[in-house]
Amino acid sequence: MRTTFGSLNTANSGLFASRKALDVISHNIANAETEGYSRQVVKQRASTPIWGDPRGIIGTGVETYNIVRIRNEFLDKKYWTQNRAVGQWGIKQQSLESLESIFNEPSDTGLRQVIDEFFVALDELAKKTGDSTRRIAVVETANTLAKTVNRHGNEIISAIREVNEEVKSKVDEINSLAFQIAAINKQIFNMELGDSQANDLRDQRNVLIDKLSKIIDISVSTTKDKNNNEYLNIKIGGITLVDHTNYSEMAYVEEDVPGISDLGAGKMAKIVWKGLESQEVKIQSGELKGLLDVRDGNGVGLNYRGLPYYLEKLNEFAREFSNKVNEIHRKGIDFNGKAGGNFFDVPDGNPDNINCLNFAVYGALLADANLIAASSDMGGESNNENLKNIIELKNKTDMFSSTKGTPDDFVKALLSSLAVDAEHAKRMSINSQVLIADTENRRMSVSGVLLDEEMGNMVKFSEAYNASARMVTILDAILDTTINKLGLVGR
Amino acid sequence: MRVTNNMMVNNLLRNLYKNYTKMDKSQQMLSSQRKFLRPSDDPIGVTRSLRLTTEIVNMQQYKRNTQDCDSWLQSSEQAVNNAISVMQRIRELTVQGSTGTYSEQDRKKIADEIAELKNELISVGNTTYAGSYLFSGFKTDKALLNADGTYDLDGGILSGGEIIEVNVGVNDRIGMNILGQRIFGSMSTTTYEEYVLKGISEFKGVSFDSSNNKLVISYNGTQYTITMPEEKYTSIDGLRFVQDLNDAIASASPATTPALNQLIKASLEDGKVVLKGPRGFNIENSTTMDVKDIMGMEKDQNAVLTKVTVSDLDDIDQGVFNGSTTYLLKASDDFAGTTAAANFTIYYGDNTYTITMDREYKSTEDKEFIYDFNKKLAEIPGLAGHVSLSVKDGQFAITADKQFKLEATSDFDQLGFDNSSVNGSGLKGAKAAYAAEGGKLDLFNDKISISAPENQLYIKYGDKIYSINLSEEEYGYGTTKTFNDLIKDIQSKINSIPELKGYVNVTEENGSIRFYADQAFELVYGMKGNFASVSPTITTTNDRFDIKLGDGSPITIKLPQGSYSIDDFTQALQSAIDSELALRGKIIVSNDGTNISFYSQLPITLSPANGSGLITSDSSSSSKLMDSIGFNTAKESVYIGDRVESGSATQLLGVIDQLVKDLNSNNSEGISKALSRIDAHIANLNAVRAEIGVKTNRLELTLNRIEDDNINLKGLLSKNEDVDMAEAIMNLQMQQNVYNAALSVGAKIISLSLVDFIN
Repeated sequence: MRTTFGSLNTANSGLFASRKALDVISHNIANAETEGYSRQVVKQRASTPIWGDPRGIIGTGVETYNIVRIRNEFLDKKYWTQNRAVGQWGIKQQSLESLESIFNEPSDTGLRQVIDEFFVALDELAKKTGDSTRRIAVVETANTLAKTVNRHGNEIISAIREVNEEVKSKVDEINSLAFQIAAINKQIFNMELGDSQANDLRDQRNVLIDKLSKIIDISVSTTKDKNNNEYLNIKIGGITLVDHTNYSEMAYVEEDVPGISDLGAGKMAKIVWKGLESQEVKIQSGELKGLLDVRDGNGVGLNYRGLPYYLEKLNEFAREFSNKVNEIHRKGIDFNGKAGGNFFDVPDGNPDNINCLNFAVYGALLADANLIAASSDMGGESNNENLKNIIELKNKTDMFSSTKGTPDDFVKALLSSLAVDAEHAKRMSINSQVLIADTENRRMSVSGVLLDEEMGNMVKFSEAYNASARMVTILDAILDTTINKLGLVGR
Repeated sequence: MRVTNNMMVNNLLRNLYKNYTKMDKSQQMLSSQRKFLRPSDDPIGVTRSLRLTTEIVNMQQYKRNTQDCDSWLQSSEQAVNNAISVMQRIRELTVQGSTGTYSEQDRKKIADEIAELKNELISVGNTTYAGSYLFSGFKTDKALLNADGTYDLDGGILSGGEIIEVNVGVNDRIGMNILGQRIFGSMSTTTYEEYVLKGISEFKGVSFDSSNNKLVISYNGTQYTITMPEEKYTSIDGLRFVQDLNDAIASASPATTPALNQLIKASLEDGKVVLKGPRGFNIENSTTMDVKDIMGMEKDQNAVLTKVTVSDLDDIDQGVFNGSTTYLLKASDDFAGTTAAANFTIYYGDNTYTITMDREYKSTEDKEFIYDFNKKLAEIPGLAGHVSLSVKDGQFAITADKQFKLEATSDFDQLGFDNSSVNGSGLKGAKAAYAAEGGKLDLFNDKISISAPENQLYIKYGDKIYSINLSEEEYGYGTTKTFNDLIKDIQSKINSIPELKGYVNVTEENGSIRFYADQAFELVYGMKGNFASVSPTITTTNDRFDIKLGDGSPITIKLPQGSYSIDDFTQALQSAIDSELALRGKIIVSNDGTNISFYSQLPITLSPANGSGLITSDSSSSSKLMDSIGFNTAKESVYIGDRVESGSATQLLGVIDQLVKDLNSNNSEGISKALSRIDAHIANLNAVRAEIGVKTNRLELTLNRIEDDNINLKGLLSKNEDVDMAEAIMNLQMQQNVYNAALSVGAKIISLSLVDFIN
């Protein structure tokens, strides 16, 4: 036996359900352009019917039991995994491009040009060793060569310093994101205690995690306890960054790196877990990895060929070039008849101390071009025997111990490595961006708001509302009849 | 797949951005005219570009060098042409002068003109180009010739190696200059020193009595009184006066053996009295003779040191034009004095010559011996001007312009020459063509001490390395030994090695030690390795040691296990060292049967490696010894052959001088000889000119080649770097079109929505 007003409830439930659905649609439309928004869909089901009547169970209407967001968690995980490559290669592409600008080759002002000019000046001097103008030209071109190397070295050191600053600011960003994610976790947890979904908060959390995933390689996992409460956990390098509402912070320890800090780059930040200062953070990918590789990579073994590698190559050039030229120069006789001293400066008398920053022409020679030891023992104003040996260095293929080749080849090899690395970074960056664009597309495909779709739904639900409203009217009429018109015979 | 609005917009934007980037790139390529702007755009292209740019710079430098060399050679050719025309004019004049019909005055006029032409030849020798002397080798700031026709060079020497080379290609060098010796030649000469006291006025005549007949001369520390006979001499009795003077000198008091007139001789030259001797002497104040009035000399007047030069012009008939090469043989002992009538046999050229001395000489009479010996040499045609005796570092040395041999059985051992034969019978002179000079040593104020174990010098001569054990001594300040003693000791130790004796000589020159040899040699660092055993059995406990070269870091050398003989051990060491890239080719290992030694151009240090018993303790090469004798680095010898010295005479001008003399004295034989000599010199000058011509041709070919290379390289560079304008413009056009299309389509599609259609 049915209740009298039961059907009204059924019709009412229809109204409420349609209203709710329309609210959700309007929410979707309003948020169509919101970053990271996933469209929400109302979940309806028929409400529990009433038992008992053997002549057929009549339903009691509709109930909206949940509003869910349409989101493919798998695509999110995929996005976060791919985003780290985008971050890493984007940084590397940028840094290597600016390194290419530092070297500025091929051009008329690069290292190759000043080396060539130095040898041309030497050759001109060899034709008239007594000419003071030509001697001065040699000193000038040598000075330009040294200063060019100095400048490149300084620019690389500045770049290293800047990258270090960026590392520090990225660490700060990670900490801030971790704090925010933990806070949102708390909000979500509180809100979801009552079995409903905190959809918008989850969307915001995803946006935060998206940002974090570009900076550093994270692994995200969710666990559910027996009450179906969800706990989010983010780990970096095996150590937990965020665990539900708790978060750890990273910190940096400034330390001196030999070969870099002492050349003026300052202390380098080593990234550690706060409170566990001895534990260095294991970073495998992401922008931070890109920055660290560029800042620390010395090219030794499997290490990345970052700024220190190129700095060391410049050092090597300065050192070996100085030493080889000095070796020959000391065997000669200068214009005053004295044995030749050093052509390039040797700080503290130790040839291993020469690097790209202190590479310079020997002070006394800079001041007095007559100290160029062009002659051999036989003497004579146009004796260019020793100078010839220095000029021969241009073609000497075993001049450098690490690279087989002449001084020109050394510069070529250096630039070639740089070119190849930069091209590689560019390609990897483009490729990773293509991959992630695809994933992003798929995400949007799943979760994005299609206005036309919402419009269609809107029509659908408003018609349903109309229909339910109609139903209420009819029921009202029936009840009216039942109450006011039933059993009125004879009255 | 569900496509949302956002997706469409994002995709559109992404593609627009890609297009925009492409357009930007095309734009940049067009405006910069280059295909790539950064190395990463085209790594291989950039590498090629760098290499090509460097090559082009090199080519331009080679071109400049070739052109400079060409100008230099052209000036040289002009100068030589001048010389040839002068020589041809001289020839004409000589032909005139050799006809007997010319009078003495005419011949004098010819002689004068030829003397003038000589000056022109001198100015040819001193030709300059752009401020540099063309023919002075490296000494382009010093004139080649003096006004009198001897070599000037401001006191220096001009060696055969002084060719200024310029690079005209990779490993392709051309010598720019012609050496003065090639044009003027040099004359071999015998020179000896003589002290001369010459009167300034002619002999005047005198009447001697006991109050004015004593001439007191101090010689070699003793005063000798020479008493003239009490006779009268008139001004025409000069010859008789000189004869009597010589007799009086013979009986000077105090008496000497030999008699004083063997040492000081008087003669009459141009009517003036001349006294000559091998050592300095002077007229004492206690002379009672009126030397001023009679002979035009002053009391207390010192004999003047003169160099007498005897030369031989007959060389030219054999076509010898090169500068004199010096063959040198040094004595190994000091002069011990000679016995009476000592005789010396020399083989020179194709002949044998014997010189017998007139008297015996004491060991202190070295100057007198040299004086007399050289005078005798100067009197022998065939030897005169070719062979000379001199003193080098306190010992005798014989120099010649050809190879010579001293007969070992003659009395040369009395002069200090080592009698034990070198390479066959007789002592051979070795060519002193290579020299290595150390730094200046100041043995007045400094001391050198040589002590074991740093007392070994190592010389690489030929293919072998010889170690010379110097004795432990101290030389210099505060000791009894001088620089000369140091030289002598080193030389005697060198002479104890048969392969070096006579071929490697040590002398002192300008305050530094100089090594001379007839072939290229090197002074290197060496040491004996103090191995526990020189024929060891290598096991795991003794298979390695550390070796440090120069300033490098120590490198561990490991040897395979097994038993070794000394030769095998040496070889194994050498291969182990050669397998290290840092040491390859820089260290030589050898053994002398009992010891193993290491040699290198850099100082070597051996030290034991951890736990290995192969070497017992550290040892280093003798850089200390090398340093102390002025060699602060290993030294390669320098070729100095074919050198001329300042002040020496030139052959060409020597011929002309002789010709002028012969014309003035009407020596018809001399004049006709001069003719053939002039022809020979003209032939030489033509040869020099031809050589310059060949070089100029080669330069022209080189220049053409460089031009071609330059064009090719520039073409390659352009192909590599430059943008193809047509292609780039077309690309840009297309990209612009695509961009436009994308924009307009996108705009249309995006704005469509259901919203517009629902009421």
